[in-house]
Amino acid sequence: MKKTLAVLAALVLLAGLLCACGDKAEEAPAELDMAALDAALEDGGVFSDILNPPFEVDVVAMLYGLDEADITTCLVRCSTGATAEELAVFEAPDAAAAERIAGAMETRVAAQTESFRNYVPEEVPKLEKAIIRTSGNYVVYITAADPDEAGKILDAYL
Amino acid sequence: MDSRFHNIRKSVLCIAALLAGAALFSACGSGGETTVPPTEPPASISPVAPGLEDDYPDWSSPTPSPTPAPVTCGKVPLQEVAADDDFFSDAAFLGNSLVDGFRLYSGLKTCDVYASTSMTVLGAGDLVAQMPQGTYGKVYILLGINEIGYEPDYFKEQYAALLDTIQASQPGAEIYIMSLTPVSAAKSAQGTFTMERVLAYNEKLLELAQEREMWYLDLVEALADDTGYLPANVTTDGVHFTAEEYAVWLEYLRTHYAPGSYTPPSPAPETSVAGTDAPEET
Repeated sequence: MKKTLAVLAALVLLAGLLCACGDKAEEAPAELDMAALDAALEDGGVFSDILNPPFEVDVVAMLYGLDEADITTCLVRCSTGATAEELAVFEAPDAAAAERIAGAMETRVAAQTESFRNYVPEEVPKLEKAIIRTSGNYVVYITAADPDEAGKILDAYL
Repeated sequence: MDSRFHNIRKSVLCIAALLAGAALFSACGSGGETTVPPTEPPASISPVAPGLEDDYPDWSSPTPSPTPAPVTCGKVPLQEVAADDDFFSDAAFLGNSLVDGFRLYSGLKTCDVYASTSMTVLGAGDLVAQMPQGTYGKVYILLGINEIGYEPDYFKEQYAALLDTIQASQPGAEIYIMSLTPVSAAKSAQGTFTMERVLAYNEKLLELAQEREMWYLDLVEALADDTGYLPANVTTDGVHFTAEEYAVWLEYLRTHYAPGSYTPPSPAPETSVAGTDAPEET
């Protein structure tokens, strides 16, 4: 009887653990505080370059080839051009738009890699470890000098 | 005898008075001999007699000073009126990553930009090929920092070939050759990207502008600090700079354009609000 109870308890515990380890992408945050994420990344020292102030949405759309209608809100900061470092945080109106944004970030990474390969080759490893993460209608793209730390900080937000 | 002498003395005194009066009248004339030159020259200037130039200094150079010839090429002069965004609506900007930065950060959205990271004067023909034929009234060019290792004369030669390509593509365009932008003191000290080389290249670009009757824009004047370098606090690599500097660059372009090429829009006429005018009496 004791053994049976112990096995049952273990099974319940295991089931609970499996539920808790579900796909993060399915657990969309209620709201992502973009400014707080931006500040946390800066304070975490993940960037080595100066990131310029956030762009207006029309510049963001032009930069990434996006339709402005696909962007509910965003926070996008690019470097001076000396490096490939970049932060782009989006909220899309729906999952389909979020998918298009994520695709645009993939394209961005590929284009930047090609650009910097002969220009500043030291930037290519950063781009190879670029973070593109989607959660619900949120998409986050980060190319940083310290991508591991950037990922850890992002974990607390998305 | 005494009365005759008295009469003679009286006559002499009268004659002397008359002569003195005549002399006074002569001194008040417009011509004649006088030791007091007039303070202002007459409206119609006549040549001064030789030997009298010091007495008539204002009349000694009857020929008016020549007015300076208008500037038609070379370094663009400072203009009093800043051009608005519409001035750039027929402009194309061509160049390297700094021009890409201009596109993103200057705030100007009325122009077209053809730029690419690592672009050089040798590859820029590919960007020109993207321009629709004969579209632009102005072409602004910034190239040179990525090929700073060339011999300046070779750079000038290749730049001249690019200008031929641009003129063939945009025959009606006013061409503005933008100088290389300044580098930071720290970058310059490392060698290769030195301020000395930047200025040597810029000298060649100014020569080209003068030879080809085009315009030259001095971005070192626009962006360098009092030491002649790019300020250290606006750059991480000594070449690229922060967003605020692009706004400074744009403001420089607004106040440096070909003389006569910009006319500010006329202010809208005031319109009266209905019901405020007093009705006419009938």
